[in-house]
This record gives sequence, structure tokens and C-alpha cells, in this order.
Amino acid sequence: MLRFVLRRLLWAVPMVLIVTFLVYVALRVGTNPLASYLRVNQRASAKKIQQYIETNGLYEGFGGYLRGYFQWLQGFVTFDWPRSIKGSREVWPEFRDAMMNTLRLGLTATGIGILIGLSLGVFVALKPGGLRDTTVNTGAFVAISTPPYVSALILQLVFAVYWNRWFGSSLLPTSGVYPPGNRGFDLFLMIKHMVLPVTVVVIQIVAVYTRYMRASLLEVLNSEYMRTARSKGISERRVLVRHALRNALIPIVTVAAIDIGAILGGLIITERIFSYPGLGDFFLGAYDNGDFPQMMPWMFFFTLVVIFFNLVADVSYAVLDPRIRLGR
Amino acid sequence: MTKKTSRVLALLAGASLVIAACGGDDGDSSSSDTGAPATEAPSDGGDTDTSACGSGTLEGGAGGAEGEAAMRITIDINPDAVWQDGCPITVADFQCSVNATLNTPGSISTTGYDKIISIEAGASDQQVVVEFNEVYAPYKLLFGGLIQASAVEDCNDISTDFADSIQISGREWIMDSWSPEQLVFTPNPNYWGDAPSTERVVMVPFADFDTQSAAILAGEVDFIYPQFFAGITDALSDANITNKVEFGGDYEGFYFQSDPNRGGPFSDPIFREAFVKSLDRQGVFEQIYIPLSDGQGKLLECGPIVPGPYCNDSFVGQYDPEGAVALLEANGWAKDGSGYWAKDGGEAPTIRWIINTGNTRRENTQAYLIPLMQAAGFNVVADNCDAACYFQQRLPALDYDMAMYISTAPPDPAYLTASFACDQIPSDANNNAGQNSTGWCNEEATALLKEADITVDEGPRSELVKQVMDLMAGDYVMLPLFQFPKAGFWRTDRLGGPVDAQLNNYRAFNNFSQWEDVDGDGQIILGAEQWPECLNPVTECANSSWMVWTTAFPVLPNVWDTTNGGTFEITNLVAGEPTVEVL
Amino acid sequence: MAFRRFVRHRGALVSSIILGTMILFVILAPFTARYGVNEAVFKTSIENPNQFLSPRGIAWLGTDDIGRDLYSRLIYGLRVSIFIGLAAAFFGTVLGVTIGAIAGLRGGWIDDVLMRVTDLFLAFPFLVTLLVLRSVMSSVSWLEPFVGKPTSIRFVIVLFVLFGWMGVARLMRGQVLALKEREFVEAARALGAGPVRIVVRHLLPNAIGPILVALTFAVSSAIIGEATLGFFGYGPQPGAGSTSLGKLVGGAKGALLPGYWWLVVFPCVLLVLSTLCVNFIGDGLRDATDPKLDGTR
Repeated sequence: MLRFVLRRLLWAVPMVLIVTFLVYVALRVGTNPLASYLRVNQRASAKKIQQYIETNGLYEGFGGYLRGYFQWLQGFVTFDWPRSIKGSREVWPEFRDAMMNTLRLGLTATGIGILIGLSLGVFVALKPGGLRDTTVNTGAFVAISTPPYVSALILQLVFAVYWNRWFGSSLLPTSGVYPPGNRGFDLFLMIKHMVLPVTVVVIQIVAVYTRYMRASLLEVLNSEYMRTARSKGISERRVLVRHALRNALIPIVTVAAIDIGAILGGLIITERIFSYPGLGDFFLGAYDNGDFPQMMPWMFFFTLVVIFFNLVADVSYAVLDPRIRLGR
Repeated sequence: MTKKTSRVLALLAGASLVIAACGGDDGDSSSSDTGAPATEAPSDGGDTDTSACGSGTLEGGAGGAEGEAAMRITIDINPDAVWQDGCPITVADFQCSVNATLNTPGSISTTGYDKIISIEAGASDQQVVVEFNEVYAPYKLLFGGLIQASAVEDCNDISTDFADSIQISGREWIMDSWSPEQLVFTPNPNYWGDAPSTERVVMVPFADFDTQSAAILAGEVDFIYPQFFAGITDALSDANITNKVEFGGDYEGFYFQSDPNRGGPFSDPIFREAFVKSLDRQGVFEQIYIPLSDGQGKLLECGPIVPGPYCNDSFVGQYDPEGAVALLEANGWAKDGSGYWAKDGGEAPTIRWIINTGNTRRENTQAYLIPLMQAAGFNVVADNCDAACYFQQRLPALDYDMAMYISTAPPDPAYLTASFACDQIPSDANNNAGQNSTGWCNEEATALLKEADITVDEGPRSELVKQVMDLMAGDYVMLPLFQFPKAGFWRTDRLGGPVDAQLNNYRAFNNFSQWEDVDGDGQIILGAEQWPECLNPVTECANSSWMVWTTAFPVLPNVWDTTNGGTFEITNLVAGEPTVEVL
Repeated sequence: MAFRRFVRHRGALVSSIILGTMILFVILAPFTARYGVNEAVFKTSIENPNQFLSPRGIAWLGTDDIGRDLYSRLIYGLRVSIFIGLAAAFFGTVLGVTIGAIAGLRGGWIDDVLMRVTDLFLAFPFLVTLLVLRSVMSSVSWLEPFVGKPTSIRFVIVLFVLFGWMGVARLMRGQVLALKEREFVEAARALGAGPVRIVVRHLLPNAIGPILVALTFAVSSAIIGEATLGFFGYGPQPGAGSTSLGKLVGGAKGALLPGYWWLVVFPCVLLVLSTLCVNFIGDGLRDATDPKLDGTR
């Protein structure tokens, strides 16, 4: 087991380097930072341009990209991040704030979503085929087929705009972390502002996990060894808790770890619609400006997250499911 | 608001410090070091020891244009005028602002400043004497958005200053904080004019109109200044919300790329004329713009300018489809097999019409007009790309045949020279940085424009501009469409005072220091449609109207401000109207 | 057998009927649509404007901001969206099957690399990957003859294909790994069949069920993908000649608050309905082709 984990860890290091290098190349090609710099600084002298190329490692050719990548990486690790192109501002403080906001939103939504989703999944898997199953299953299907912006617009309309028309004041705010002009930390207001975006993300997560859990649990319940367990006279409840749930969760843990990307994707869309100053908003803003120095740390960070969770998925799968063949 | 708009706007705006290519950019050399870098915290008011304020003039002066002095402006600074730290505003600040505009690598425009030979102290450090190497009529566009010399390390390159905060102030407000989420202003204790009537002004960005309108309906913001669209007043109908619609300096038009050196179907004047005569502007107006104006708008007939002293209604009655057919047929054009006009049996020209994708109004215009133009025998095709590609690549490279965009007409017509003079067509001669993106070159018009720029007398100057408009209409190089409404929406239960007094001003809602906080929560909250990425007043950051409205105007002093009526007036920065001498 | 199971999936059955009707409407667009895609219901005038008319006789689903019939535009928009969905799903699946088969048959480092890449691609947020791919594809000038302009429909299809092959590849690889040791494949190999032949004649038919299911879901995710890009302004801009669900749904944003509910409700309902139908059909297909589910229903 240890060997397996180590092997995977060893895999991860070159993976991170290769993938982030590819990302680096893609972003350099996609955004062309030098051209962006020149567009913004039209009066830059040849000397200034050369200086910009050197401080930012914007060399040409494969070797140049490689050299530039490592120069960038060195700066990144030592927190000597290149400044944004538009307005030459520091990137890290904004990135950090955005990350905190996203973590708050993402963790809350994921926690609530998975909890509700799994419970619903168990709830329907116990009586497959009935009205309950059909209702929840159809509901989940509709939710999956509804893009987050559609639900977001409808929620905003009902709880902010129309609520205001009907009752004279809106129930929930539609944007930001705090009401405009707020000073300092206020937990209640913060929660109030998170309700709608969290709901939008939760809807997506619940829909997905309900179906995962249902399918997974059904499969376990119908498997040979469950039949055996039942036939041995173990009570249904005990079967469920001791064996079925545990086994049904195995694939879900794996899926959850891989799914992190999908959740983040939903977050990006949601943040944009609710003007929530998180990483998604940060990325889309940087993308619209073609701002390489802002996009690259973002992509690097996400690559790390994604690779890490992939690793978690692999390892957890191996740990939880003794049937897996190790050291393939 | 488009990039194009803001570029013109920024000229006047705080940003106008912008200057030109003269002062050789060798950043490291001879930067005049005027002592202490950025003063971080504003002092608590009260008397300040002015000996700590740095020198009243810059070593090395400012400007850099060559030649004989042709015009001299003498500005007497108000002796009470001080920065937020109590230090007097002096010649050094004028010099520093001009140098920053001229020499910062990312400076967006140096127009006007590039004619300055020198800026020197007159009788005292508070008398500014500026000499120009030629007469510059639009001088009132200069000396806006002044910065404090002692707040920057190097006046010749301020590109890394003011990235996320402007700590200096020579107006009513001090920028308390600025972040991607909000901007907070508090009163400037050292301001020498009337103190603001509110303790705090907060500006908040909104990603789109939906969230913005939801916020004002919900009472989260007190005032918004959104871009007008059809149905906006329905969207904001609420007993507590009122609005005022005015018609400001923003106008939209069609432009036809007619540079003979670049080819393209419209470089043929006959074809261009026929095309324009076949285009029913009234139809476009009724279908696209009437809903946009709440029934109050009119078709714009002036040209690339709005009604006022320079308008001659030169574009009236150009629609003449029969005349177009006759003109083409008389010149060897005939319809080909697919019904498009072609000359002498050749291939029918394809007209590439560019707009920025995602702009519903322009897409609608294409959807409406393209079938009509095709029916009239012109093979118009949509050739769109995103805003960055459109405004930063295709338009400056004249890589289009027909374009549609909004521009902002500042109160001074000087922008016409930059946009329509022959020598402004991008070419190797001007490093491809010319701003004439229609490729229109009419020597006579160019001469008139240049003359207008050195005619300080208002009456003759407007006659010159009107002649240019007539020539432009005769050359069929553009078609004006519509003067855009500017509208402020605000909650009467939260906001009072002269909210609607300046909505038509170039400086927009910048009189908010006089607004009253009716609900008594101690603050006024303004919604912003766009949010600046950064606050530097001379670089690309300033190339956005919202940036100057929200961050530069409330803190940086100007010699002249614009008025709601589209004129200029001096501010309390100066002791009296500056003297202008033509030498 | 499989067909009977599919028919017993009520959701799938109903969805097939609805989707079938939609496709029929879309194919017969010149007849089913009442107006042209950019045709105003009548010429506007100041007294009698054609903009923002609520649903009525001359425009069953109302008109938009320049007086065009929403019903007709929905048909033309759905046509483009379904085309994008089908084309992207088809080519993505073909690419995925090829790559998955190679990975499964060859094994070794090709397999490792391919699967790692697939893992990562799938793990990244979908919008981010799409946007980065989009910027690369639009910046490399020599690609333009192949992929078209960033605003073209072809560009979006290529984008979705590049993005969409991975799920199928992983699935195909799994199928190949599971099947390749089976007797009939061994037998074919013993008879000297080459790898292409083995895949096409033996592996593909046996894996066709799950692949078909994946293809169906790819259609719906391409439709949603187009709508998402369109909603945020990165979508295809078919130009003056046509529209798409993404553009119509994106246009709904501005119509919400003035209360032009028809411009919001109908495009959104159509988007959700069409993806829902495709998803239900996929679900039905899965039930129908998954032998494990035999007898459980």
C-alpha cells in the first residue's frame, strides 16, 4: 500500500511540472503577454521592452519557453510574482482574497450539497421504482439539465426583485459579499449574501450526488455478497449500515475527488452572476483582459489542486476497496 | 461604453496630462528627485509645516517641444489651494503632471502637451507660465488630473504609481480605500472649497445591469448611471426611484473605411456614395434607436459631433435609393447574377461590416440592415470579433469596410483633427499610431481642421468646423445615427439635493459632494457599471470613462472643468481665468 | 430486448417523442417557422412599434427588441444548437473511441500518458479548459483555416470535440481492457486479425451500448456548453444569418427586469427541455444496454 502511494506521489511531481509547463505554453500562446504589454505601453522604449522581456522571461522558441517557465516558477515559489499587465498591480493580495472568498463559498456549498445529495440518494435507493424514486430521480435530472445561470437568474428575480415588488423589501441580496458600504466583518450579513450563490451550487451538487448514491447503493444492494449477507439472516438495517453504505461510498469518494473540477466550474459561473469576488470572477476578469501574470498563478494553483485530488481519488480508492490490484 | 469612447474621453479627463513623444524616454537618467516619495496617510488637517513640502519647482522643468514660443498661458494658482497633506499646489505639480503624461511608457495620449516648450514659475511658485511652440486652441483640455510631484518617485515614469490607490487629493474627497469590491471616499479635511454634505461616499461595481438594477430596487444602492437600453425605465419602475434622461456627448455612427492605399470596396468614391444613398438611416433609427430613447431621441444629423455650436446638420436627406442606382449605372456598374452590384462585369465587392460581438444593439442593427442592403444590391456580410479584437486590432489597422461604434464628443472639437486628418491615417510616418481609423483624407478638410486648432476665437472656429462637417458629408465617409441618452436613476427615499444637475456633464455625476443623504445613514452609495482595473491617471487604466468618473475626478484637481451645458469653466484651483497670449 | 427495455423507460420514451418533434420542426424550419430568422413581424413605426410585443396572434411567443418573432427564432436557434450538439458529440466520440482503443490495446506508456491526460482534462473546470483552449485556438494564426474564426460555429464544434473526446476515450479503454482477454477476441487474433479489424469488428459492436450512451450525453453537454459560452459572451456569433440557443438565452438576461417574461421563459424552457430530453434518452439507453440491470425493474 505504502509503495502504491509513494509511486503515485512520485508520479505527481513530474506531472505537476509537465502539466504546468503545458499550461504555461498554452497561456503564453493564447494571451501573448508581450503584445499585451506593448498594447498597454505604446510609448515604451526598446530598452524598457527588453527589460520587460527579461524580468518576465518572455523568451521565444521552445528553449525560451522552457527558460521562461522556470524563471516564472522561481518567482512564483518565492512569491516574487510578476505584476499584472493592466495597471501593473500586485497579483498575490487579490488572488489571496479571492481564494478566501471562494473557499468559503465552495466549502459551504459542497458540504451542504453532498450531505443532502447522499441522504436523498439513500432515501430513494431503499425503495427503487416507486413514486418517491421517480420524483427524486426526475427532479435530479431536471436539476442536472438546468444550467446554474438559469437557476441563478430565477432565484435573483424571486428573492430580490419580485420580493421587493410584492413585500416592499428584498429578502436576499444578489451580489457581493457584503452590502455596499459595509465596514468590517459581519457574520450575519455574510451568510445572508451567501444564501443565493450557495443555493445555486448546492442544487447542482445535490442533483449529481443523489444519482451517484442511488446508483452506487443499488448496485451494492443487488450484488451477490449482499444477498449472501441477507440470506445469513443479518437484519436489513444492519446490512445497510455495516455493509451496503460503506461499499456504496467507495466509488463516491473517488468520484467526489475527481469531481472537484466540476464543482469549481459551477462556482465560476455562479460567482460571475452574483458578482461574488472569488477565484472564478478573478479568472474571468483576467481572461477578458488577456492578463497572463494574473492567469498563470491561477492555472498553476488549480493544476495543483486538481492533481492533488486526483491523487486522493487514486489513494482513497485503493485504501477503501481492497479488491483493487495494487502496483498494476 | 466602448473603448473608442473612453479613449477620446480620457483625453480630456483627468488623464489629460498625457503628452507626446518628445522627452526621450531614458527612464533612468536625470529624473528630478523631489524628495519624499508617496505620502501614504493624509494628515489630520490643521496647519502643516510647508517646509516639508518639497520644492515649488522641479529641477529640469517640464515640456520639451522645440521651436519658438507661439502661445503663452499664465495660470495663477489659488493661494488657498493645497493637497490633502496641507502642502500648497505649486508649479512643481504642473511640471510633474506634464512630464508624467509625456514620458511614462504607457501614457495613452500626449496630445497638446507635446506642444509645450516649457513650464516655469512666474512671480512665485504659485504662478505657472506655460509656453507652447504653436497656438493650441483646445488648451482648456490641458492641465486636468494634476498629480502631486512629491507623491511620485519619478515624474518621468509613473507607471507603477497609483496602481491601487490614489492617496493624493486636491478636491473634496480623499480615497479612503479602493478594492475590487468597493471604493470609499471621505471628505478631504484640507480642501479649501465647500465641504461635502456627506460623511462618506461608497461606489460599488456591478457585473451587469441585472445585479445593478436588483440592487437599486432592493435599496442597496442609492444611485446608478447605467447605459441606456430599451425597457430600462420599465425595469426600474418603483415608487421610490426617479430618473432623468439627457442627451450627452455620446453618439453612434457608421464609418466607411475609405483609404485609397488600402483598397477595399469603399475606396471607390462612387460606390461609397451609392452605398450611403441606399442606406435608410430613418429606418435604422425607428427600428433600433426609438425604443432606446424613451421616445425623446432624434436622428443625429451633425456628423461625428453632437448638436451645439459646431453642428450644421450637414447629413440631412442623404437617403436616395433611386439616385444611387442612377449613379452606379452611369458609372459602369450593373447587377450580377446574384443581384449584387459589380463594375464592368467584374466581381461584386463584399462589404465586411465589423462590430464587437455581444453588443446586442449592434447585432440587432446588422440583423435589421444586412438583408435590406443585400436587397439593394450590396453584398454586406457580418465580420465581427470581440471588443479587444475590434477596438485594439481591427479598427486601428483599418481592417474593415464598414464599422459601427460609439464615440464621445468632448466639449471641444479638437478630437476631430486626431480622428479625421490625413496625417493621422496609420502609416509608417506616424509609426502606425495614427488615430484616423476611417482612412478619410481630404486635404481641404485637414487644412480647415488644423486652422481650427489654432483659432482661439470661438466664432470663426465653429465656422471652420462646420465647413469640415459639410466636406465630410459630401465625401460620404460616415453616417451619424444617434445621440445617446445619459440617464441617472436614484432613490428619492435615500438621496436628495442636485442629483440631476450634472448628468449631461462630461464629468457625469461628479457633483456628488453636494448631494444630500436623505435617509441619514451617513453615506451615499453609488453603483458603477464598470470598475477600473487600476487607477493610474495617465496609462491605459485611465482609458475608461468609469475610471475617471469614479476615481480620478473626485480627487485630482483640474484647471478647467466641463459644465452640464458642454462648456468649460475654471475651478477653484486657480485664482482667476488664466491669461492666454498669442505671441 | 434492449428496445423493449428502452420503451419501458417512460422518461426516455416521452423524451424521444418530444425530441423527435423538435427535430422535425427544426429540419422543416422553412415551413414550421412563421417568419425568417431576422424578419420583423411587421415594419415598425412610431405609432405602432413592433418591439417587445407580448405573445399574440401575429407572434405566438411574442417579439424581441427589434420586432422579430420569437417562435421562429427559437426554431432557427434550436437548429443551430442541435447541429452543434450532434456534430460535436459525433466527432468527439469518434476521436475518443480511437484514442481509447489505442490506449486499451497497446497498454504500456501510451495508455498511462493518455489516461493521465484524460484524468486531468476531465478534472479541470469545464469552462476554464474551454476558455484556455479557445484562446490558444484563436491565437495560432495557422489554425484559422481549419478551425475558423472564434465567432464561427465550426470553431465551437472543434472546441467541443477537443474537449469532449476524453470521457469516451476512458470508457472505450475500459471496454477494450475488459473485452480483449475474452475468447472471441483471442480467437480473432489467433486467426490473424489486425488491431483495426479487431476493434471495428469485435470490440466496437460489444461496446456499442455504453458508447451510444456517452454519445447521447455528449450531445446534451455540447448544447449546454454552447449556451454557457453564449451566456457569458464567448459563444459562436453566427452573424446576421442565424442565431443559437446560447444567444437567445443570453438575450434573456436583459429582458428579465423590464418584465418581458416571454423572452426569458421560452428560451430557458427550450434549453432545459431539449437537454433534459437528450439526457433522459441517454438514461433510457443506459438502462436498455446495461445487462447488469436485467430483471431489477
